[in-house]
Amino acid sequence: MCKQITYVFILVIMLSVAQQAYAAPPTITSCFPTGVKSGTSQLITLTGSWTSWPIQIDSEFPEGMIVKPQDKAGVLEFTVADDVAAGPYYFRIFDGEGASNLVPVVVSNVPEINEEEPNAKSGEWKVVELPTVINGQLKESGDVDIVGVKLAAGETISAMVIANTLLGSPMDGIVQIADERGFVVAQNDDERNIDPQVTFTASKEGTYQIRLFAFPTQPNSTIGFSAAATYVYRMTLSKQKFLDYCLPLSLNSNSASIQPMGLGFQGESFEAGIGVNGYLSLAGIPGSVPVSVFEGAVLTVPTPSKDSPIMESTVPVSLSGLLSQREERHLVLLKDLKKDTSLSVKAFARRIGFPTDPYVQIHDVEGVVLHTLDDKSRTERDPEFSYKIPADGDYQLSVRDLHRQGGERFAYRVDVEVDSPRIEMNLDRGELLKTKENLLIPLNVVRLAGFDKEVEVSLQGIPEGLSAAVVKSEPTGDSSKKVQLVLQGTPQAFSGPITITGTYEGGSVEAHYQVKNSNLQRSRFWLTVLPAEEQ
Amino acid sequence: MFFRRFLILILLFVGGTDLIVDGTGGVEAAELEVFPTDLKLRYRTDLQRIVVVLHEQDHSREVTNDVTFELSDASIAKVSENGIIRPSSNGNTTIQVKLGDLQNEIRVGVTDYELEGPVSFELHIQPILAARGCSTGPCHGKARGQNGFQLSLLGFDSEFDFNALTREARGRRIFPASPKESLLLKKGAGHVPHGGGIRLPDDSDDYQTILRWIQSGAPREIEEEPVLESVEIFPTDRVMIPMETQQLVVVASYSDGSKRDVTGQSAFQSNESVVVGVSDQGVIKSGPIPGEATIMARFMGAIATCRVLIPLAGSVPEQYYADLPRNNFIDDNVWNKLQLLGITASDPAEDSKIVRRLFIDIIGRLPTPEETQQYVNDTAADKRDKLVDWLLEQPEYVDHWANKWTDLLRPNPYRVGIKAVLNYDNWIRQAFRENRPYDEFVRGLVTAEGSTFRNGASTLFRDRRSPDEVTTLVSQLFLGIRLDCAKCHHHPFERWSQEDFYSFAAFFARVGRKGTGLSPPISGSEEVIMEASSGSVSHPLTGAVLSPRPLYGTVEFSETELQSDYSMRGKLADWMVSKENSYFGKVMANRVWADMMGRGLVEPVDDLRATNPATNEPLLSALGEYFAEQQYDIKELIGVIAKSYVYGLSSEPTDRNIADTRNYSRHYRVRLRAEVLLDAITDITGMPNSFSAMPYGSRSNQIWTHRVTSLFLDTFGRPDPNQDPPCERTPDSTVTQILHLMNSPELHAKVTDSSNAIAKLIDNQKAEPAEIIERIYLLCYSRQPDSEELEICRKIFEENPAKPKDAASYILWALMNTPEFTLKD
Repeated sequence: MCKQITYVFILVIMLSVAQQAYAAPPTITSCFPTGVKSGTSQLITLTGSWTSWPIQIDSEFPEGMIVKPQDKAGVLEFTVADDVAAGPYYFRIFDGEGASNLVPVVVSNVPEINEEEPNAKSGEWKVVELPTVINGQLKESGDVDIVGVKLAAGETISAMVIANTLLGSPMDGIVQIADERGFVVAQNDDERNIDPQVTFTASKEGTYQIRLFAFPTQPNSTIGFSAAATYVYRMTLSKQKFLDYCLPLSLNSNSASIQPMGLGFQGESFEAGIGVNGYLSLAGIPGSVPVSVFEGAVLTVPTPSKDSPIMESTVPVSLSGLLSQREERHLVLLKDLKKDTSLSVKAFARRIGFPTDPYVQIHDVEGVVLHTLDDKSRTERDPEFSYKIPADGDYQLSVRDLHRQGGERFAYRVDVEVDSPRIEMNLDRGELLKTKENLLIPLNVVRLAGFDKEVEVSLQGIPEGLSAAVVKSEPTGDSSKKVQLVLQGTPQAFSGPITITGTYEGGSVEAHYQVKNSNLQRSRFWLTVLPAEEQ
Repeated sequence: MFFRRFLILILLFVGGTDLIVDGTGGVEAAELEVFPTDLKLRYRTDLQRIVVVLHEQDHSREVTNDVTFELSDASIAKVSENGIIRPSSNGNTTIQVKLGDLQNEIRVGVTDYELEGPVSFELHIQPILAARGCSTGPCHGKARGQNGFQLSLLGFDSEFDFNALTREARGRRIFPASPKESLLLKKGAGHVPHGGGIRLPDDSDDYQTILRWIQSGAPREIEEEPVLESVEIFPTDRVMIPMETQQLVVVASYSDGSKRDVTGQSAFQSNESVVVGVSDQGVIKSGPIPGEATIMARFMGAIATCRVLIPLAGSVPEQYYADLPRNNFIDDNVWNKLQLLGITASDPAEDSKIVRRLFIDIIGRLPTPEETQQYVNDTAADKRDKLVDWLLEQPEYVDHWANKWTDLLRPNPYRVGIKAVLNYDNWIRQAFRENRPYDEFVRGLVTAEGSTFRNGASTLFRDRRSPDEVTTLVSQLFLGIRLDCAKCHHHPFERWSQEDFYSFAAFFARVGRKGTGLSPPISGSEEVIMEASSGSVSHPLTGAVLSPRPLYGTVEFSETELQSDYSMRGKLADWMVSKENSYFGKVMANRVWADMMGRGLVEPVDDLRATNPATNEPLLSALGEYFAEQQYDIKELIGVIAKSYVYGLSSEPTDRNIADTRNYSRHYRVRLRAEVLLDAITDITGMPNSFSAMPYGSRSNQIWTHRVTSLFLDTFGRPDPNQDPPCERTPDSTVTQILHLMNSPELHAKVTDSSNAIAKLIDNQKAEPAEIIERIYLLCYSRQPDSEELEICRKIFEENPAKPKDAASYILWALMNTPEFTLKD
């Protein structure tokens, strides 16, 4: 009898804890599968938490891409039209308690396969047709996912894994290519940050195993292969063409001539446009690459040779290049720079998924080194610096890999601009705002290159019944670096996007946040206002 | 030249001629050889030991005590009965050395007889302290000295020793006011209790020398003090018969051109004291058994060696050696050596053994029954060559040879991080997948840069974090030079000084790092190895900043190179892999030779030095040269060894090679490497392994860290994962191994599994007992059972008529517990 009473008591406690959990905002920790082929529909199961189902969805999807919650909790059906360009598109789920972070669903233009267990032993794994994207999940400790591919002698296969980057899987994947008997012929651990990518040319015809296994992103004290429900990945396999990246790595308009790089490309150029998601893709060819838009000249630095003169450019310019050989160093002559001009130099390589460790130098026209930078900081390997021009004239900018290495993926981008005064705004708390926290929104104001204007900061998109006074960020003093917006009024339930704008003489700027696991920036913050009784 | 002289003597043994063939092929009578023949004595305290060797018809022997000495002017010098010449007055004389009808002449010049020679601390006193054992490791030369008196090991820090003698202990050790009261002499002569016993008897030359030094004020240096340049030894090589003696003479040469007999102040050591011993006085004595040895004479930092050969008694016709088959230069060199020693080669091994040996050596697995039978049935004359070429292209080659190198390079993941080790392992394997030339392999390691997450080779510098730590590894692995001793003091058996060590270490002075360093036990973060723009190495005693300098030869640096982030390691790599650097090719050739032949030409395989010579130096040189000529292609090196006739010899000894363990007159049996043995069991049973942190079915030689648990591999000699590489394995068999094979649950499970390969043979093919037995023998031994074995095995099936799988498993288990299975024969 006493025992029964105890059990009832525990049940009551558990139910009350569960009730409290219901008040939490929805979350998404992973999706499986993580993508959809254009022209198809795909059921995707979310891992995370929510208070009720079906749930509302906020997305950045283009026309032709639809998502619909299914009856089964956590399952969404994505339908993607044929003409939707490949690449990641973001969505979040939300309800009255709040919203999840933005998470991507990746549209591809080649068939996708969902990995099925068991597939770790001979006789279990299956041969797949290429090109394809494997949507996989390393579920149980020690898990090794294997698919087979048939290769003719001399045929090359590229296997590219997206997991930690973009998808945010807490896994550090390793991809192996092994022959049918299990002898490893190629292996890669890190290529795009910690995600692997490997290219292999078969010397013999046969069936080859493509294996994937992982360690945790944060290593622990065991050597065993790690797994979890959140260890989701996408592995693109192709033996025809595969769009790895393109040169230049930035464009000055939404459509331009680009040189695709990767398996099967021989230096040809294409007219291509950047999709609404900031990615570029080619019809029928696996792979999509993020491309940024640069306001200024965009150049691809050629491989230096004895006959080719040094490339010349004015500032601003976005320079892209490929250090294809060891010891290769690229040199560009920056013309007509004026004394005391502050140059802003930003390199991009590691942070956009290349192995290059850029080593950037400014020289005078004689080649004397005036300034050198390897890393921006201890944790940021791409250099960023400002350099004040000492005298009118031309200057050289050189880029090489710190270790003088080179290869097919040793690409870089260096943006050179005149370092004009400008302002940026961001929030420590990221993209999700909730009024439960005293309706206060602290904002960081970052004044660069001597920006000394007064800025008026305001909120847009807030619901009726609430208001926020415009606050000023003065050129000096505490408010020059931080301001605090205060939401006032009678709170009504609200869950939706807002923006934060800073207006100053001659311009304006929106506060932004970086989308998790990507280099993308967004300015649509998500505000949740709880009903008054819940606060 | 050494072998040629020996060969001539051996030919005389064999031919019984009463003439002696000289080194140019001419013919001459027996002669007396005298050393030295021309000597200059300065000061009345000088002396010189004479050694006389009689070269007779069929043998050479020392006759110093048997000859007579006749001086043309007896007032100039005196000769003792044992051949020590001391001056008597200034002038010149000749000494006729006579033995019966034979004679030779020594020219002697004496100057400054009226003076006693000045005594130098470095040139005279320190050598005495070293030779009498005072400054050696067991006595005052050890790290904390002995009873409060510390000297530098073997006297390699003169300043330290001078201070210790003259200034410490309140000056009691040296007492110039009353020299004989100096503690140094009183202790050494045993006038007061001395734990080390009497080392300097009153009447010894050494006592007198030290006494004179103290009497002269115990100076740190003498005027125009010369520097020791080299020492020479006589004789440099001898063929001896058992139980014979030979006095050695050691002469030092100095920078002022002078020479001095330092036999009494030299230390002697034999590398094979069972074969040839040597006394403290430099008298070598051959033992009762045939063999060879090298005697080292060490005088301060200089080394000289004498090689001694004791051939096997009896004779072998010259034609025997001329008729031995010769597939390549390896056979020439081995047969030459066998001829010198008078030992014969074993017969060639049977095909079934050859095929098993080739598979194990080249790809680390046993041949399948089909592969064995194909080779055995092949009648082509070049079938071994074809098989070798085929094996070298098999994927198993990669993991087998990479697995050996991972022992030497791969650190503990709990020290440097899991990811760094995984990538390092893959870097090593990729090198073998590409058949990367060995020089490029080494260059890739020595000059490694980049992230430990991307370039596995850079993990070398994550593990070895200071220039001195890298230095010992690089010199030992890639040059076969062990420098550990020279890190703290002058190498006792080699010429390497601390300055040599730290100058070599200076090549690694600019190894820079960024990222996160070690934080055991996880050390999970990324670290980037780079060439920094600054960094230096200083001499630990003098504090002087040392410029990078190779151990021998030269590397030129421009000022720009020295002052920028130019890769000094690149320069080092250039020097290391240069074809002029014979050490580089030889140490790898020796390593591969040892792997395949069961014993290195030099043992340990990475300890190449004059005092540890190769058992067949011409062969080692030829292998090194061949390797270099083949652009350091490891497969070519393996191939040339595997294709030699010598490689195919049986391990069955003959009467004339039964004691040979180092001249390759027969094949030396070696226990299978742990991974080879486990994979053999796996292949035979068809029961795959399931290791943690490995894809299912991985072979044990594919394991990326010794942290992966395997009791079997640990039992059979896999290195301890906590041990710092390089880890060389010992092929010894232990009782534990035997017990493990008998009792291992893992092995039992594979052998008795009802779905293993043998069981399937019974189930699916309804094989008859004879067929099953034959298959098991071919799987385990790569041969057919003989009739007796077949009969025994048949009985096991007959005793278990309803359980053929059990019968098969009994036979399989039994065979796996025999030496024929566990050894490479």
